[in-house]
Amino acid sequence: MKNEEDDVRISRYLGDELTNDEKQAFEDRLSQDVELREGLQSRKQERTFLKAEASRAALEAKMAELAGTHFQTAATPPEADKKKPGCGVETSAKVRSLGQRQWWAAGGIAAAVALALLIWNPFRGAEDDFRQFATYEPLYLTEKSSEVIPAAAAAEAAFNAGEYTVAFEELTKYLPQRPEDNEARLALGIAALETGRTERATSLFRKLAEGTTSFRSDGRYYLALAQIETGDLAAARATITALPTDDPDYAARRQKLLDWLDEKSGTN
Amino acid sequence: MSPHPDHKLILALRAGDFSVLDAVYRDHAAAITSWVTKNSGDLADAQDVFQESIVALHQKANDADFVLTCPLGALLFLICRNKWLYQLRKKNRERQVRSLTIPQSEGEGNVHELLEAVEEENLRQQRMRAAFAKLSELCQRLLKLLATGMSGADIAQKLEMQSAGTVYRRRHACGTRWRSLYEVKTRVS
Repeated sequence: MKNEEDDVRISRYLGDELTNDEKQAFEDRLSQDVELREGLQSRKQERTFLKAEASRAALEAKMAELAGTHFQTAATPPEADKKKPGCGVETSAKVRSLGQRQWWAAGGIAAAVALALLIWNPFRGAEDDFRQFATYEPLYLTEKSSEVIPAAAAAEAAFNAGEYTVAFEELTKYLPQRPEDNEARLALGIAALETGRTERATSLFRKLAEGTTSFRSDGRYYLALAQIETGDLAAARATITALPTDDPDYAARRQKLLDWLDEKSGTN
Repeated sequence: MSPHPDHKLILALRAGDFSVLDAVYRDHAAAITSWVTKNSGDLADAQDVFQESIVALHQKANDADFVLTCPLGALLFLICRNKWLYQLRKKNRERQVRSLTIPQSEGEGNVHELLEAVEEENLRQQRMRAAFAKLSELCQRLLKLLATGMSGADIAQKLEMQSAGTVYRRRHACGTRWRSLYEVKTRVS
């Protein structure tokens, strides 16, 4: 499904996280929107596969156990087994491999490494006011397409390493090739903010904040941080207040930021 | 069509209750072994074919919309037969397969339609598996967690992501990549 907004909507639908009105609207669209219907069907196929894979090891273990009884390598014909169930037949049957599952078994070490990299907060303990709120998630651009875009890998690596000067350059090259990639746009805003390009950052965040994509809340939050960085606390307050109080992603951070702004205004 | 009484076996496989395989092996393994060994195969071939067929059945059983409307034995036999014919074809030995009389039983229903559905699922999952293996560890983990029915918020906490929204956007990126790899694989094969 190319449309990210609809893909997120399908996730929320499958997770039963839509409100009644949203659910009704989604189901109404399903009867008319072929792409949405195909997207949902595709997600169901993925789920079928993943569910089957999740229990495959247990299935193979059970088949290995049964192979000893029903596919023994001794000369005894299988028909004879049927006549004498459980009569102590030698369980010498070969447990035959069912193919490649290295990807399923693999991953412990790599997953641990990935987890260690999940939250990247280069400013923990830094003195700047806004930095206590500036937690950035790792950027993943190369997963989005099988097409190789050199700037994607370079931008991803630089951003995740906290090398924002390089990240800014690479993201600037990347975005014209993927203008619809709002994750990259948000990352470019962060890289701009981190390299002192506050106006550019503000412009990028504002565009996201005023848009209708799923990055709207991200845009508002980081716009408020950029405004704090420039010392415009009143604007930051207005921006952060515009975030819905029940925003599932930002409600807690919204409140924390407002509390901090209250504290700052009390001390000034 | 209404579910066949054997549909309970499909529901058990879907729920991960593999104790039902005791009866499936007891009732059908001998017949399959007999047929394979009479048609140019040996015991190991029979075991391979039978196991691969059980895996295919299990894959389709995980499709929540799948309903078994024929006896399980009839469907299992056809899956095994086609798998063995495919093996012989690969070895250029199809002519060695004797003409096969498939026992017809009352209430066999739409077994051929179900066979097609199982084989299609089996092929799709093989390709999805190959493509899935090329995703990052994080993508694989996230997709697996979502398939368990865990909420976006819980996954965000587990993967130390900031929010459910982040999880779903990451899922979109992973899903897009997975689909493009899968489509490449499909075009190649």
